[in-house]
Amino acid sequence: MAKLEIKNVSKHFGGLKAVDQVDLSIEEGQIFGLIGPNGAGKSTLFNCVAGVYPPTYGQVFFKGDDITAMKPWDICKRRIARTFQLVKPFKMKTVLYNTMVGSYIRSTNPAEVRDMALDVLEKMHLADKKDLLAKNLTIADRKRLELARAMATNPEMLLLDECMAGLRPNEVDEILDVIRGIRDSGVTIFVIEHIMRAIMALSDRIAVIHFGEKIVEGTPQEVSTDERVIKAYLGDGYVATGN
Amino acid sequence: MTKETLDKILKIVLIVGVFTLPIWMSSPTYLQILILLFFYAYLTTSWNLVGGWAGVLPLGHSAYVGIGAYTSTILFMHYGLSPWIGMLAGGVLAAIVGTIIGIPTLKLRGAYFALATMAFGEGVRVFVENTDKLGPFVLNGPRGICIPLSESFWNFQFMSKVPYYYIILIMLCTALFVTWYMSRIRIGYYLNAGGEEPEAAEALGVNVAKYKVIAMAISCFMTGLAGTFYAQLALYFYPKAILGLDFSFEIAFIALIGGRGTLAGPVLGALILRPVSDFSRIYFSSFLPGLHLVIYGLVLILVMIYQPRGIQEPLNKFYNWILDKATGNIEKKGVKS
Repeated sequence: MAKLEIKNVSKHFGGLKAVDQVDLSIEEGQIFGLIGPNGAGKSTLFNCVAGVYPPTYGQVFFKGDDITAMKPWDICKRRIARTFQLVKPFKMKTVLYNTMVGSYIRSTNPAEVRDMALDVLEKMHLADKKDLLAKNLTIADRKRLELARAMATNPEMLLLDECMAGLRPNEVDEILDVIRGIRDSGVTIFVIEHIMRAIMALSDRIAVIHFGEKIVEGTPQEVSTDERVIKAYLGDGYVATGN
Repeated sequence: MTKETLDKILKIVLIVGVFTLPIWMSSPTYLQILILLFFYAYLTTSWNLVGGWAGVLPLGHSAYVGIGAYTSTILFMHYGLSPWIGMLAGGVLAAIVGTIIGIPTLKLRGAYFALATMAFGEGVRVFVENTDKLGPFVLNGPRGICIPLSESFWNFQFMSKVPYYYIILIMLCTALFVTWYMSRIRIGYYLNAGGEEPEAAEALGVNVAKYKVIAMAISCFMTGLAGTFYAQLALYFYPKAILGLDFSFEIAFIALIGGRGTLAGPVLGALILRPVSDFSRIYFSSFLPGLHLVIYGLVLILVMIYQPRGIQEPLNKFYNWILDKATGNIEKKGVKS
């Protein structure tokens, strides 16, 4: 049984079909990449899964349970965590405080929650910055904090929305290691990313969406050589015709 | 002596000083000023649970003061029920009304919530001003209610100001303790998170709207208790005095100037603003009524420009600096001798 199953999901905003009849199925322990040009509907699809808004049509199943149109906090309680493309730290609070907000889903005992949060920060290499205010972090650390906060909820599945955008190449490599580490601890990962190098290296499978429709799905190798993908990204003129 | 011990000693001196104050200060006028100062600090602390933590700006808290005052007084006058019990009844009623108002309005953001609560507060005032009798209960419309005199502890009436001083002081300490305790457990974290970044909080499993409504209910309960206290202190109240907009504004002003969402902010705000209000009333009320609100407005503008997190921040830094300085000097002297 697939961990996350997206069946025929559409999201329409008025006349705009932001996501149109997308089917996806993500297996346990996979890193599944979702790519597509700007405005293709990637984040909208994410938001439909994470409960930010209900899909217009279609259903989402997690471990066989229908989670379509559940509220974000209920989805989080079912152990699906997410990060935001534009990071949203609690700026006036410390790194530890930010992470503890996530851990409170697992316990009500402040001391226990604190320990859990410290544990996550340790794994994310943020422990030495635990007393800094989130607003004083660099962009790379903010992305890391966003990840730490999501991991603090102890998820089985992690939705990452462009968690590498705006980072330097060596910072991207660091985050890649962190994400692989998370996967190795048994978390299934669904990731949107723009940096091709990163997503190709990271993903077990990749789906490409264009104008809200899924055009290709396969291994990184298959996807990167597919004609339709090259057309979608670069235009018709760049497809090697063989002549 | 370390900084921590000096800090502890100063705090103990402050607490002992505040609790023994009526022994060496006999002037009822000054006691009354202090009682009102604590009363506002208490109200603002209650307000702070919603206005400070939940990230919205309620501007209709006078309604809950009124609900508390009218409930306990009506129960006392019609059924002879002790205001101490009426106080709880008023608090519970205020919490219920607060919840009913909070459920739809707390979904609104920014100015819309402020306007909705303001409209509710004004609605309550206009309703009470135009109602002489609500069913069997006498409200007396704009003339207000005079509580018949009969001094006894059970009737929550005292000839001296001293008991009132201690009652409001204990209420304030309790409110501060509740706030402090809540800030350390889950609800405090969730409220602060939801107030700052609601979407992020929701993604972390926080039902932001639910926690805001809980905070509103607690805040309104505490505010309702203050209503009974005010009624028993003044023994006469009328809608303009306890249901007016300026009353709601004053609470918000104290919080914003003192430091919204902090423990010390409401107390420091009241400490600085209440004397302004009292002295402007004593000296200018005959020809410039409401001058204190003008001054508040000016102070608020200055504080928002130079200290957007309230005056508690610089005061805190100053206090720490003094502590460092004092302990540093004492240690140096110790070395010399």
